Amino acid sequence: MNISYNTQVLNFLLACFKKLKTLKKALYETSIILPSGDSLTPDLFCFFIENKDNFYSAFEFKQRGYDKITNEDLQERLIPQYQKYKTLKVEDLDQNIVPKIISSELFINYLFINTELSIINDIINQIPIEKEIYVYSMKLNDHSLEEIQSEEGTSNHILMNNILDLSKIEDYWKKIYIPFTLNDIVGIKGKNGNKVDIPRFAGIIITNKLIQFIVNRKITQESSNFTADHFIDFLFREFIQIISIGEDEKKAFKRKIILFLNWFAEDLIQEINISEIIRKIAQNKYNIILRKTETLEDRCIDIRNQAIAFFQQLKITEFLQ
Amino acid sequence: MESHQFEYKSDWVQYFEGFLKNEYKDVEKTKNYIKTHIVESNYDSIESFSRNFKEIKLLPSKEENFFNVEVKNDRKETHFLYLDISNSRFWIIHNIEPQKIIKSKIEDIFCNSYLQDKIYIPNEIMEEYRRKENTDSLGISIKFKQLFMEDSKEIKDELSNTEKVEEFIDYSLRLWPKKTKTMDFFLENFKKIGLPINYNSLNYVFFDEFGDTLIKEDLYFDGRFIINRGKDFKHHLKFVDNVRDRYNTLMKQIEENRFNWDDLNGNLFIIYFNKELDPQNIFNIIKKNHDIFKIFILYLFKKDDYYFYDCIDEHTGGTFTLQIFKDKMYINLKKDSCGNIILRIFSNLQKYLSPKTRLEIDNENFIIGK
Repeated sequence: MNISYNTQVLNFLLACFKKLKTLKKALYETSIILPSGDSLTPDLFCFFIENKDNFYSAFEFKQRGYDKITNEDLQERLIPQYQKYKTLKVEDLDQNIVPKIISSELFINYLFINTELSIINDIINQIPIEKEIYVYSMKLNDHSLEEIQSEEGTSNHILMNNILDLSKIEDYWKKIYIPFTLNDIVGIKGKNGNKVDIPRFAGIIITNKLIQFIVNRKITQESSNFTADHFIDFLFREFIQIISIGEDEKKAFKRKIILFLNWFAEDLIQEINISEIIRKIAQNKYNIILRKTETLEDRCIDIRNQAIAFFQQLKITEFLQ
Repeated sequence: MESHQFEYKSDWVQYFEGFLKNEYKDVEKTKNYIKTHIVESNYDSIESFSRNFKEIKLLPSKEENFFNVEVKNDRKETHFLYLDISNSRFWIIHNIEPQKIIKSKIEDIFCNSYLQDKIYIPNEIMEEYRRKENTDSLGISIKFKQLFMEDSKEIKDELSNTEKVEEFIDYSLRLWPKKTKTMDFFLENFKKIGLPINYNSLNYVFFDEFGDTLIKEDLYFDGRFIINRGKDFKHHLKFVDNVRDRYNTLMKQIEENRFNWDDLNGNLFIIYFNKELDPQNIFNIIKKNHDIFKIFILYLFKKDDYYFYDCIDEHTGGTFTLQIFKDKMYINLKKDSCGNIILRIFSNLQKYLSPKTRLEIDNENFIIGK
């Protein structure tokens, strides 16, 4: 499997911020409610302190794989979102989530990932993206970062120049702090009847995490009974603080996890004829079936490997239909 | 013979010192050496630890941090341990029981159970002790077993290639050259022929100003001490306290760098190998040598030149990730995981891959190794 480009970019930026030691708060995919009532969700929103100077930087990750900018993309997505960014002010920030210092400047960075330069220039010209908005081009396969437009002399420009320097060092592209984000694990869908469709990458990550969760509960001698909430907490434990998703998104995510757990507890075990590892005992309640702890490791790895084999062979959809 | 149970630590110290000086007539006991272990505990309290083990009974003293521990062997005979928990994380256990009976009990209960672990002193710190604790009489035992390159059997034919000796060798050696300069001479020449110098133990004789032996004892890399003879038990206690405090400081430095996204703390731990290896083979060896590394390891993905694994430290259930490259690994330790896993991995890589393995904390001035 491959981790999503959003996750790769997030890790690269975190590696740079760690080196520069100026980052004080980072929020991944946090919605900001604007005075108009609309919401804006930068991929990454950061608060920095550099030489007693506080400032905010919002990062918008964009990937456009096509050869020519489409009118639909421009009118329905890019321009409306850009208009929202143009109105974004420090006053709009929720001080329960991020420090709110009105006197601090707020900068916006468009990060185009694996996108042709001609497309980036088309987008800049046709929106049009004004000069005080920073635009960069990032090629993940080449491990390269290039400045397209910037305003010189600002705190954000100094920050981005430092990141440009670090981007020339291979190691900064390889440091993984967060192995997956929501982008990697969304996409689980209910199908006809009680069937479920699980994307390959999401399936592999969540299966791994479920096995880790089961082993963790056995080692830490926690109850064998668990709910989807317990598993979700475990899933997000490593980066919960930088993911701030809304209540509706949380509910939608929980529904997906319940679908996955039901599939793991019922369908998977029946169809591929392996010993069960969790059993559904009530709605949204499960029990871990691992009585012989001495065989815990082999058994978990065996079940995990078999589950993942289905994802890797892309068999799961046909097998469940 | 005095009682085995003590109300005050000082009474117990006197009892053990008497043993060293052969003041007791208990023939059976006097055959035994005084042994000490430093162990790591993640329990909230000694009471919650003792509740998990039926074969031990905690007998509190009148002092807060000193405990007598009754241990039953398989034949229901009683043995005694003396526990100092003045550092609630790193306990010190003393005993004078027969080694063949008590060793496995201490290992199983105190060193190798849920939330309990050994300590793993890195080779550089053992080297530091060798140099710092300069005595007129010093011995060492060095031990190395190559686990990570055992498939490279053809290298065995290349005995003349000193750079490659460490790639296949499995050896142990005990030396007592006494003088530091002689020791340095031996070690330098061992290095010249490519022998990996990994300290298993340091063997000291501490003398007083008149040349009389205060204590003759061995310090092992996993926090064990064995007293061979002497007269000053308090000298031993001071030495043990120093080793514990040094390890405790190291652990604090490591745990300050666990990832905590609440306040954006944390850095990656980087272990550099001194050679290029197949990352998948490293995974296989760690998995195969489960008793050494105590890691539950799950492959997640491969990217460019590294493999990524989700891991659980079986000692605490704490989670961490491993990125294994040809020449290094990154460890991302979560805030609720125990820092001892870093030294368990690092020290064992020094012992089974190469003593030249180096540990760094990314973006921090923290380096162990050259």
